[in-house]
Amino acid sequence: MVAPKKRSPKDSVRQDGMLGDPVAKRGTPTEGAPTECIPNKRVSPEPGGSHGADPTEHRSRRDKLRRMFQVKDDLVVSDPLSKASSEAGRPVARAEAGSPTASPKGTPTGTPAGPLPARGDVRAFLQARRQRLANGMPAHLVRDVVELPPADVLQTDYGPLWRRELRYPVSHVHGRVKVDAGRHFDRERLAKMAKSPSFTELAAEQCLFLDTETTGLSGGAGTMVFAYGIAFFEGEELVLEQLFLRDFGEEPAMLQHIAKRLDEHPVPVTFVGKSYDRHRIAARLAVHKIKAPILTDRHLDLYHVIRREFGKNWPNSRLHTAEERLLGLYRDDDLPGSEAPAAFLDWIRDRTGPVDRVLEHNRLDVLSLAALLGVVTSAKA
Amino acid sequence: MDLSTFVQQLRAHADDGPGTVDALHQVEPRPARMQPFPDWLHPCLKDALHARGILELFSHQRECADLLHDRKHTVIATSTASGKSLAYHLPVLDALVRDGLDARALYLYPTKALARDQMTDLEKLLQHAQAGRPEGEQPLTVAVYDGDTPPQVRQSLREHGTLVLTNPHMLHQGILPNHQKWQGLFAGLRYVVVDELHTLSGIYGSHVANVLRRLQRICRHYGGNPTFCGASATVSNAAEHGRRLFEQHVHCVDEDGSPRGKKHFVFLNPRITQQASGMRVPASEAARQLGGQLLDSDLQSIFFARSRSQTEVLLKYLRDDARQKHIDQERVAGYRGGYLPKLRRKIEKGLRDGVIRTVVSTNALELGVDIGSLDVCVLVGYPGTVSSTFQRAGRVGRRSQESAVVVVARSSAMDQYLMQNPGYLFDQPRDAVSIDPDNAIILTNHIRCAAFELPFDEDEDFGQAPDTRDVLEFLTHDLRVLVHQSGRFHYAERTYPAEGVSLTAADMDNVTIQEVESRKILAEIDRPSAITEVYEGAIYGHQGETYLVERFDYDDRRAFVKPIHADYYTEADTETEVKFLHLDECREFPNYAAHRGEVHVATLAKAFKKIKFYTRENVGIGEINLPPEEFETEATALVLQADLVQRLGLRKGGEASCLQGVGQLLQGLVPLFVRVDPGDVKVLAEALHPHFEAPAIILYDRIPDGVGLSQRIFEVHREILSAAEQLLMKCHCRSGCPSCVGPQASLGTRSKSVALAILRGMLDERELMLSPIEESAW
Repeated sequence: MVAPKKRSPKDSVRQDGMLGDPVAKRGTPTEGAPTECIPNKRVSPEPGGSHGADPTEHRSRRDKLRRMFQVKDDLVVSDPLSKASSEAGRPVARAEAGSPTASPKGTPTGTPAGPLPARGDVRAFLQARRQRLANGMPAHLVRDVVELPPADVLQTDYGPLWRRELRYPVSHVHGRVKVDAGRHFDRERLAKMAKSPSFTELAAEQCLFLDTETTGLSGGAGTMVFAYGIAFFEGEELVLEQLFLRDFGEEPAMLQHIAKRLDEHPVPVTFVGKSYDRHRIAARLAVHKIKAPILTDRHLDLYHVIRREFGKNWPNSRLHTAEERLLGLYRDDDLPGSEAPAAFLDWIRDRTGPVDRVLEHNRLDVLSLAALLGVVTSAKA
Repeated sequence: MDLSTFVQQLRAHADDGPGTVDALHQVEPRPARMQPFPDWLHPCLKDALHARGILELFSHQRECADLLHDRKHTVIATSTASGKSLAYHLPVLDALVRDGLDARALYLYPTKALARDQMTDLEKLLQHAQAGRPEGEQPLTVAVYDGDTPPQVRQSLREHGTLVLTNPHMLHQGILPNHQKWQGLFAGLRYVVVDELHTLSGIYGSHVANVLRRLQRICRHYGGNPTFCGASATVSNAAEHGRRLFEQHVHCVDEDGSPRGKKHFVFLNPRITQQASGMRVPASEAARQLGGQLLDSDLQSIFFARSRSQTEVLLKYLRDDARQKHIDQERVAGYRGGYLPKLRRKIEKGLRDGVIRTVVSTNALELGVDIGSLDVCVLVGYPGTVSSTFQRAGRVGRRSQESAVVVVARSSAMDQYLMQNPGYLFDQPRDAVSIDPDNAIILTNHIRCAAFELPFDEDEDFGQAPDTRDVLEFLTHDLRVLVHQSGRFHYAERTYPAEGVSLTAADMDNVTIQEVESRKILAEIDRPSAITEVYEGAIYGHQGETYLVERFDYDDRRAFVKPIHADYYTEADTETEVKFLHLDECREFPNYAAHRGEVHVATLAKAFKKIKFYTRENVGIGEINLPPEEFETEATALVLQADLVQRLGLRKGGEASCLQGVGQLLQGLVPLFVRVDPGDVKVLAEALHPHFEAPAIILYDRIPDGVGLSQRIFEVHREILSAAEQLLMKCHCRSGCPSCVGPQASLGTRSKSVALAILRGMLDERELMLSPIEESAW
């Protein structure tokens, strides 16, 4: 007898004669083999064995596999998308295509002969390997639903767009600095600091204060911008707009809106935007084949200005350091930027991630950009 | 000494030469078939060709160039050095001269070295092409984009590169996921050339096929519609392979118009030293004598050894010989992958210029590296496949000159079989290349990467993959990396998926070999091989010199060596163990059980032998203390039932060794049922497997974690068994040959009959086999 020596009870549970098995479909021996390799017990070789034709088998297959590979049930329930599409969508099991191959002829080095045996149910095959394919992805936690702050939903030519508009009078104080400072920067000094002679002509109304929130830091076309914070001066107000992606389908409307704003206010003012944000935006524009002037020479990256000016004396040149030292702004209860991707990815799936806090973080970033623009050109290192 | 004399001498000196010539085969010369330059070819390119002394094209070059010029997808499969590159350069450059940035091209080479090699050549052609451009136009640029390309160059290459040479790995991890930076290239892409198409086989080829699906998807997005060209060595299914890789209707050019001189195949069997046991002089010793003769002649020769260490040992012998004869030792060189690129370039040039008269190489010179044309090719042992034999043989006798290929047999059964049946090489169809782009695991990985690049539309197909929707559903609901919204599947994860998907199982993790005093880096070696090559106490051969490995810093991937004059070399013994971690599925049959599960595979280097040069005496042993090379993967085990074992009288050390033959037969047949290379699946046959306590044949995925091959094998294993039985029955050999269970020498005359009995026993649906084995059961 050749039953394996050390088998835990788990092993037998893992067996599944239905795992996309073309042999079983043809009714040769071993269909739905019993789970134990009991000595001397032989499986009936007759076609149409014990449970091949049971219709319930099909329906329960995904559940069964989920149990086997510890895909938690609460996770399934908490995922409205998953439920909807597996009920309304096509059945989970795929129909078997073609019949298995005829006996091959040829040598071991010959050409594959004829059609290959049917591949079986790909989804089930993959589910059986879920954990390995998951590559260490974190377990999913169930949390409370998070509401977005109040905003308008614009009906644009490109679809709906979630936009939150906040108008600040120029007298609004951010930290200890009026945002009006953003209108009264020293152009000559700025041009020198930014090493960009054309900024001697820069008008405050041309500036588009811009900060993005993305789904990751790794770059590449698939890293999404899920929220934009932009601000510009209009009359005696600083207009701050936040755009948020409630549904991936709303991205074109969001990008078109950014393209329009860039057209009106062609000089982005950012923090690390030259090496980061604008490339993310460019990538998403490319995905949607929208043309907009984002990779322009006229781009004011305050990070470089601040690093050049203060880097030697400060512990670092990060935005928060600049806020504390130049604006007197100390953030408490701020969601760290590194947690923004996870917040959005949870929210887009089941409305649970703290994207409200991401938007708050983003709002402060954008206000800081406007205030810093004025302060850096007058502050002493 | 001319070539005929060389061959004559080999035949005449059976007793005092390197061995007896058991067989001779002549490949007759073939004249060149020429065609004029096509009319469409831009005059500046005609000038460029004239400047090189090329006045006409070979017929296959013309045919391929015409097809590509007409924007037909093409595969060109002709012999080594038949000028395949020129055949695709011409239409590509012609388009570039005329349309510039609107006619860009992407070339894929399997290795960085090949891309750099080609670039030098292309740059020269391009200089001429430049002259044909209207004034004031952007200059045409050709550049290699790989891991070594400096960042400044990358930027300009993305914007203005008209001809980009890269490799599948860079396309997969660098270019496609950042397609927005390459918009211009994709929009204006007119030609995609994939060279060395035959190397894209098995799992690696299946990965690359999916990378090409992603490439085509991105091209469509930007409005590009490239024409594909594949260049391949001679394989039996080049057109089919091209169609699978490109998923396009392809035209195949395989009528070779290049001339061929007369080629002698000499089957040289080293002398027998012990009549009783049939022991022969080792092949390397015979090769050494042969090398000595060639050194005295003016024939340029290449020796193909079967391993790194064999290459170095033979190189040392030939250099010693040269020293004794007062011949400049620089005329003899070694060549293998571990040498640093600079050294390799130098050797290639030396061969082309004729300064180096003899080179000893591993399979590294099988690919299309340009080393000019040589006269004599010596295969030290049969390379293992028909394809590989002819690739190597293609290194000699270019154009119309006469050449010789000497196959030096080892004592192994395989080589001896070939000596008796040389026809095996010439009558056998060339090997076929097989890929499975729809392998569920590979497909899923690439659909994930593709979704990162662009969202998937509701009904979008990924190339011709039949399961796109299933995979998208899996990625969305089970793996939760996609989100299905507004009719599209969007990537919704923080990771950069291409980073987690490796096209080759061989990780890029190399060990550097450093001279301990000078700190000079001598060479590199891949980590899995390191445990058998650079353990402490090993003699490491490099360019014919011997070095002692003093210390191997395994964690830091560094081996420290110092030069010594060793009169011995070292050889490591390894042991592979396959342990079942758990069983997923089991099916019982009357006489055996099939199990499928996850296994742990460990290869351990335990000890090494010191072997004296020339005499091959064993002069000592040593221990190796290195961690095993290990990985987890999937496996299928066929475990014989006690009844069958008893009936067949399978005993460890006895008939049970036939199991190995059966295992290899099954492994060889796997590609008929599952589209892979035989090498993607490994086989281990054990007369008494410790886990099952019975004889077992274990077939497992060679790739860490596996790509589900063993499950496919599990599902179709009965078909494989019955194919094996049929093949054994039909095989014309009497008692085993390389085409079936292996030649008889190792297993005895009963090997074939026992193997057949095992297979029949397994296929038998009755519980017990009633008939005892007969000598000729068929």
